[in-house]
Amino acid sequence: MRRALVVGAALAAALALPAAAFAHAALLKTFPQASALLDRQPHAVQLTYDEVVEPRFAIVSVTDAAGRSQTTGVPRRSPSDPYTLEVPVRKLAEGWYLVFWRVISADGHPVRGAFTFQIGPNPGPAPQFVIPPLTETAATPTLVAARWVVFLAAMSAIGLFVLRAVVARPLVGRVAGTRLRALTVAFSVALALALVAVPVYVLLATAQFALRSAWEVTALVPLMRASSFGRGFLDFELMLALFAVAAAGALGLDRPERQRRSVAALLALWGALLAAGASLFAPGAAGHAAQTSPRAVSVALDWLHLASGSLWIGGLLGLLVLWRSLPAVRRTAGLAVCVPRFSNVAFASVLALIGSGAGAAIIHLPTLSSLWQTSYGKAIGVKVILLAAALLLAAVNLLRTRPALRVNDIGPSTALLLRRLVSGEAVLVAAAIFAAAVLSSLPPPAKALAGLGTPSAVDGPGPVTQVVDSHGYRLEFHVAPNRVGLANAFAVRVLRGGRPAQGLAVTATFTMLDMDMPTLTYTLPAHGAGLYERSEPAFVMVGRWALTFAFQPPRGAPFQVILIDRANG
Amino acid sequence: MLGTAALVLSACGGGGSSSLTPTVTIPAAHTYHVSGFGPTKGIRPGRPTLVHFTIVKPDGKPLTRYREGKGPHTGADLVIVRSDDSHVLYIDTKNHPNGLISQRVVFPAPGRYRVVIDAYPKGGTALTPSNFQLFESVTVAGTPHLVPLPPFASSEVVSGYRFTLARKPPLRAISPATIAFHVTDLAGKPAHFELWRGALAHAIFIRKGSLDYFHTHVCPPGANYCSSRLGGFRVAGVSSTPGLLKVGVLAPLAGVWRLFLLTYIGGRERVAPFTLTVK
Repeated sequence: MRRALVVGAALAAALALPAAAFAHAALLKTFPQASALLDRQPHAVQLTYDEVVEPRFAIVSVTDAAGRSQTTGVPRRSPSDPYTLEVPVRKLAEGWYLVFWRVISADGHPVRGAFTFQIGPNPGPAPQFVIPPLTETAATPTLVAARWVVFLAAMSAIGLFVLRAVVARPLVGRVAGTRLRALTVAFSVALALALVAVPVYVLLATAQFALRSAWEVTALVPLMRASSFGRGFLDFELMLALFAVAAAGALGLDRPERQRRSVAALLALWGALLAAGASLFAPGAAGHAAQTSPRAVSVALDWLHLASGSLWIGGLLGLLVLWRSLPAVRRTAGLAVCVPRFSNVAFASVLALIGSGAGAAIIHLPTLSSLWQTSYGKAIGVKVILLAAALLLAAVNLLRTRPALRVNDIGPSTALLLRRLVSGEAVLVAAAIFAAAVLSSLPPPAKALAGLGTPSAVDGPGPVTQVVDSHGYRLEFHVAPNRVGLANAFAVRVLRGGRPAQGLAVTATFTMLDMDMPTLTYTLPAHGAGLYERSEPAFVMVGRWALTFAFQPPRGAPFQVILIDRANG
Repeated sequence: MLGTAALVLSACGGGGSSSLTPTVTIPAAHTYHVSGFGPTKGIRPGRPTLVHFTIVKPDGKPLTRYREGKGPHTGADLVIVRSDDSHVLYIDTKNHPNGLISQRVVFPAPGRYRVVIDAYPKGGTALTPSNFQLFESVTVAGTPHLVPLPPFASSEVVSGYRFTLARKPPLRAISPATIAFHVTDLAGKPAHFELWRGALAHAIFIRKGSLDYFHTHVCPPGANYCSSRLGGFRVAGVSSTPGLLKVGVLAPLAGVWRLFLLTYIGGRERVAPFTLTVK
């Protein structure tokens, strides 16, 4: 009953999520500046990000209004600043130019943007550039599927190894005529699958980074370590290979029929466990966990989450393997040895899984409403539901079949129930790992959400018109055309008592809500009749933006109004 | 396993190929442009030539609605300047309902001319600019006798009217300034300026060599329709007393600029050219 209560509490608190998630590169400044009118030739277009990005995966396209490319080379890292990409351009005639860029963040998230500049003094009217899609996701079906296979195989391998080498080992000594060979084979298959899946996943990811077919293997392989994301996962591969060697030694030296291990077997076992544990640091180090503050806590939570999840899924699969491999006459006795031991391990793992997931959720989710307002939060919700269902099956197992196994009184119906519950639990946990693969491919919500006040209105996509009454003023907001990569007009007409209000100092601050990015603040000059207006290319990314308009009246207290706007490409 | 290891190890090389750099294709933008401009050659100097064209909007339809009313910022004007800055024509146009724009132009001399189409569409919004320029060029038949640009002179006499600058103005690029002209009539008294095409004077600036262009106006005091914009700056000229023109200058580039100061005095258009240096 006590454990059932704990399980129930765990269900309620099951904000279990992996800490690994993609971060992104934010564009900090450009040369030429967005919408700038230049009176002299730029030799190159420069883009400065908040992290070092790989030029070999970057697109920096500079085109004129006719769609003609103006670049004379490929993007390269600036010799004077590793955070800056530059692309040389030919002598530019008077006119308007579109810069479209796309980079891969250090941890694999593709980011795109666009802006225009002019060469004057007579550039002509602003063209309506046709901008390619400004959204690109790392959560493509192929990549998510590959990522799922990687995690499922690696976690299963580690869990199967622990089950084989630690949890199920006493079986051979206690139940005569039983062997653990099937577990060893299952472990080997899972590990081999992981060893193949990791480089395939990196290859697929590299192909997406380079916008190439994954079949161009010869060309893509040299680029696999070009991204820190690729380096991280190839390091994961090398660690898994080391684990494979250590595990082979440990299993080769182990004599399960002997109750006590030899010193060599013990050392080999610890070596393999350390290798397995070390390998689980790699995904977090290659993902968002390593870039989320506090970094050490974030990476530790990620590791704990993966480790506990590994013990759970690997153990469940191992129980199913044991079920099939044990002779029918010894199955009940064998399960009576293994299931209670595994239940203890699984119970601790689930607690660690929930604790680490909840901790990571606190770090990654700036507000509770992010759970249902963002894709990241929704993915967490799906994962929580799947894990809750798995925990429900685990609870039934604990309450129904384990007591029967303890007294070795397990009938055919209970045995069938056990197998079905374990199978169902394994399927649900595997599905939760799939949800985690989706989740870790999405950017977490921006921290800015936490500091945001209550919005007065939500609008967009498309031109925005909102009227807000605040602090005795009537405020008429207009945003047009509300598109990314263009100069947008941001205007507010301020009325007090039906008359235009003059003399206010008005600023507008733009905060990206779907990703962490630097904020932009502009002063809105007065244009008479209570109109405060400015045209700026403030929307540099597709998605939700918080527009915080701050008003300082000539007399009276300052106040602000927040609009949530969705800007499209 | 061996294949995997080979893959990983070969990836460790970290080489790369620029041919693998991803690319993107950007289609042509939708923009305001001139369609059917003509004639561009075969033009005889000194003879009326019907210049015609249509401005096409980004949606592919002709621009038919232009700003109206008082002030200089209306319709679509033509500023035509010869390559050596020696001749300038500032011409109003006739706008037909179907968007066709036409006007008879007398080109004064052979040579190559830059045609600036200065358009003021009706109802400027964030998507519809309130003013823009489009550019064409024409060649007038004959052998051009190009004239070197004269150096700065503080005074120019046009049909007996004297336009005088007190001193050589210290102009800088992207730096708004005002320069004062004193204009006297044939009797040496302050000249009376008449409103002509929405302003008391039009100051057309053409840069030597590139024929870059900007245009400001001089209006009566209090006129709020007169300012010209360049980047984030606005400039406007004013004339509050007879004989005095305060001309707004906002040169976008350093270099030698030819200023054509167009006024309407004594019932006729008077054009006073000056050479100015912008640092």
